[in-house]
Amino acid sequence: MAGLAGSAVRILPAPSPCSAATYPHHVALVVELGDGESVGRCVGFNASSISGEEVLQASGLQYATQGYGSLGQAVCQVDGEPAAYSTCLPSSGSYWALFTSRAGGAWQTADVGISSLELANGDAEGLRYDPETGPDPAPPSPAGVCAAAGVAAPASGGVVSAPAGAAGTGASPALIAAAAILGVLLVLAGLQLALRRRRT
Amino acid sequence: MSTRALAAWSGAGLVIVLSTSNPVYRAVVLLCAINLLLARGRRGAGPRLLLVGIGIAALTATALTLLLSHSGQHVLARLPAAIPAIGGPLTLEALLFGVATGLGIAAAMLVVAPLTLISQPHELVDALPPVLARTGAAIGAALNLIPGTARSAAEIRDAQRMRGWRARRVADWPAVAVPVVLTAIEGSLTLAEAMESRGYGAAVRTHFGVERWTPFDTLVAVSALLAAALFLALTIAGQVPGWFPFPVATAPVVSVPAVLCCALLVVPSLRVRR
Repeated sequence: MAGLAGSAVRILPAPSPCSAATYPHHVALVVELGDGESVGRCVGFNASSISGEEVLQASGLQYATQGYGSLGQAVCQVDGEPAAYSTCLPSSGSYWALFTSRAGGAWQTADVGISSLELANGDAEGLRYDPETGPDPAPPSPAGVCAAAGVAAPASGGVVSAPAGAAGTGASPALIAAAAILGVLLVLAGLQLALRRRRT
Repeated sequence: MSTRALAAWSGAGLVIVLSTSNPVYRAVVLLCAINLLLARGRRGAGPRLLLVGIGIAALTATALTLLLSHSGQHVLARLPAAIPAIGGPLTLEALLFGVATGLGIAAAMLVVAPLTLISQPHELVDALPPVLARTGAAIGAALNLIPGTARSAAEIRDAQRMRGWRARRVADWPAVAVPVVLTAIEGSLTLAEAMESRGYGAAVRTHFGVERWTPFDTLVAVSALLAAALFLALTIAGQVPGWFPFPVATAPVVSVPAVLCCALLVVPSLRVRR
């Protein structure tokens, strides 16, 4: 169990072959169920992009969709929730809200269906079973989902995610390197100040 | 150091700071600018005033973001909802975003500060290409008008005080304002005559001293432009993600190549002015 920034996300191992950390590209999937429990999965892929439905399919979670014309498929059921439904997106009552996070950014509500959603390396897909009453928060942060699943860093570019307060993950090597560079610059500034005072 | 090399450095720093919302990159550029000002900047009241101004701008941005943005999951305090605009929860996420915004403002101001704190005004005009020489002279004269008028206003106010003048109501201020305007007009005419007597506009602008372009200037300009170009290329390639702490604050995602690009801006600080 890895606690991510105040919200519990249960990181589940994705079924083979998608769990392989050797894949060059990865997308995090966060699913917040109706009881508040969140499930995180890291999905690896080889192509330059992957559709939202392929991510859900690769995660191994049970799901069902329904077509909505040019918008694509809407998610009606995930992990058996709801147990039964007559309308995928009811005019009143709970439904599955779809979110995306691009390159570590904040969650944004998706403007297309899950089948039309294109995700690239470092993006994240979020699903939240929205009761349609009360507050409308985004799913828990996807930061650390891929790190916790054994993906140290995406192969292209050395980008590493470091979630605040992620249990067991610690500071990423990239963040440590950045802190070291900042430290060197601070020391250099101190030396410059000392030299400047000595010249006067 | 050549003013043109310095202008390339400032431009590159500004491009990096304005193209990212990530506080780590902004902090690296900020420290590079501080190093350069410490290594080569002038001493005196000017730099101190600038630093105070930058500090006030950064703190104002932080405070405004904290008070006006009520998003975020970690509530630090609550202001009564009855207070317009600022009433509501004050969150850790808003505070962090405010600090990042303030850091961006400070970094943007400090990367262009060397153009005035290291170079002289006439060096800046000299650094412009010949096509922009007249524009530069006009801008230089216009910029000089503000501090010149402020000096003139202070002198006239002091002179009027010695004659017993006191600013008790608005109707008293023309006693200062009218001489200030007349002095400014007179100063403009004097400047025009001085420029004309020196042959301004008659031929290609000549220089009393020609700034030398050294190998170090080449190193500074090339490293700065390379830093900005690589940073932009990494950004376009999606390797330099921004940072947005809402709804839950997370540590910024950092790309080591992008940090190294920013750190390239430290090159001009590595040679200290003797």
